[in-house]
Amino acid sequence: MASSTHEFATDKIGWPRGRWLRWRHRVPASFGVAAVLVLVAIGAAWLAPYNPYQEHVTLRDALQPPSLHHWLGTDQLGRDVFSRILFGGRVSLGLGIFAVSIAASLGSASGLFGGYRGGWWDHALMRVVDALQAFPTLILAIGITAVIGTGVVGVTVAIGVVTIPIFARLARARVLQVRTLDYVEAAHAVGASGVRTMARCILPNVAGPLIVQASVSLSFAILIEAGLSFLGLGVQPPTPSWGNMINEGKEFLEQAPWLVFAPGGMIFVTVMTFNFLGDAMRDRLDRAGPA
Amino acid sequence: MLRYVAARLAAMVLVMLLVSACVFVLMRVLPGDPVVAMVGMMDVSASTLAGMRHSLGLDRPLPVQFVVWLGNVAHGNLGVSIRSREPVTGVLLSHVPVTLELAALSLAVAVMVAIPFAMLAVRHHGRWLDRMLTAGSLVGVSFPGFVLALGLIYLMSLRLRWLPPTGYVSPVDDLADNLKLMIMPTLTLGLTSAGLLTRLLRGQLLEEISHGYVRTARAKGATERAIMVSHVLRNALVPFTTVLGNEAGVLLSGAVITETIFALPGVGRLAVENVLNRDLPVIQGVVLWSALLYLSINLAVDLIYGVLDPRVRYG
Repeated sequence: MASSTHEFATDKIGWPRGRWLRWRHRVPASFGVAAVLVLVAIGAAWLAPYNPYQEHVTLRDALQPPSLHHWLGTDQLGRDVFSRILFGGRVSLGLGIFAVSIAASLGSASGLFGGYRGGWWDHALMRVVDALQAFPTLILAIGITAVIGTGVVGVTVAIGVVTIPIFARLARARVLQVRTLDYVEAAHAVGASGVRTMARCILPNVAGPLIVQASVSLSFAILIEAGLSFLGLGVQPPTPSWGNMINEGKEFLEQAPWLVFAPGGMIFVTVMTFNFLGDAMRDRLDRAGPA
Repeated sequence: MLRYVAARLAAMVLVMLLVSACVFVLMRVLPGDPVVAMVGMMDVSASTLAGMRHSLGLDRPLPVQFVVWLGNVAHGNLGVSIRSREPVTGVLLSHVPVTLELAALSLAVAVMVAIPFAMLAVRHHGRWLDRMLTAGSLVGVSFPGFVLALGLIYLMSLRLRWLPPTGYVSPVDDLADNLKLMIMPTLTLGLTSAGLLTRLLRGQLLEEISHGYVRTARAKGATERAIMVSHVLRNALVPFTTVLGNEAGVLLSGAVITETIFALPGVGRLAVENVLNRDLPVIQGVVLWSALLYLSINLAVDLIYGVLDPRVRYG
């Protein structure tokens, strides 16, 4: 209990301070890892040593343990696991980023508008958000894939729908905080339109927490995609995604555990990176003080 | 207090109505005719199909169908499963005990890990033990449950041969076998929740410990143990209970993936099997059940606030 009160107050949920990774280094460090993950996903076609769809169904090629030729071994159809992980990352990350971007834009815009305008739009919006948040996430996502169907489109819509409410709620709450501040009043006084006030005055001042939330939601989206694909309701084989690779690999858990633990490790590293990035950005925003 | 409960219940009914409307509309916009799905591969004439549609009320206008459906739901009648032809309410209730047992055991593990770990981390704040525990809890939050589950099966069943990998035995039939089969699913869910709860509680404890009342208690000569347990922990438990309630809601509505991996016949597995079979009345039932449970637990949590923290006033 030797630390000062100031330290207690500022270091809420974050990482305990230490020499080895100071808090001011955490944002660039986790951002760097996240950037590498995204770049590897983009460059999968150039980086993958083998064609991820190429099957070699001979006893010699299937279920090979990790070796110099196949860094992470081969699967039951003789496909190179490392190449499939790179391409799977493209699907898992790409889908997550796309779904979260759409959800963040729609959710933030509606929350911004609701918080700024108030009235029936705000009431209706909040009731819809309440209804959407009344479902446990995965159950809602499963219900949506039941309606839309499995595959990339179903998963993207499912992630989008379960992610929109948090952005709408967050944007609305922040707008309610800044709506009555002097600079918004000033914008009204000089005759700025509602849209201009929202876009030029309010949005830049509420964007920080939304960006933090985007990072956390991305890790969440990757977990949902992996979960749905693992259950066979998400991205369908032969297109590789980390979740469906684990689903296919679990049948061979005893003979070829790398089929499960290699993609599982990638999901873990990616989710942890984006959680860490979100945490670090939130701490930095907290220290910088409110907008 | 009563007024607050009444207002919350009214709001809950409104949200449940919206939820029901969402579920109803979603299920009706689906491509495909439910009557055709019911008869399956059988060769049935168009007039028989029309007769079935009429007897099920599917030829009436949508708003009328919704009101009739809502009335049935309010009476606990969720329809009949397309595949098994059994009443959905009965099917759902037969899967609830498994989910209930799993949720109770997992929450117990989560709380038993989270509270001592968070208190240890705060006691050693900023030192290596705190760092290890915080890193461990971040790993817990980021670790996908299904990878942990498969890791446990690989280690405990396939390598060490200590536990049977999957299956379910009712505790009424054989309690020892039941508990043996529940160890891995419970650890999977409990440890994942424990990560989140430890992180949250550590943060709350650190915030509480910086308040003036702790200094006052110390000045009055209270022991560190008494301060931590009866002052700091009690205050920090308020937000902790919210997240615990949320976790309980998620677990009780069906730990979908864990139940599927360990072949436990719970509500979550029921949902997945019926999505794959496109048995919509059952999915509808599971989704409604989840929403109702989730909202009820959130209300219960809000009411528990007052017990944990008498300063909380319901207005």
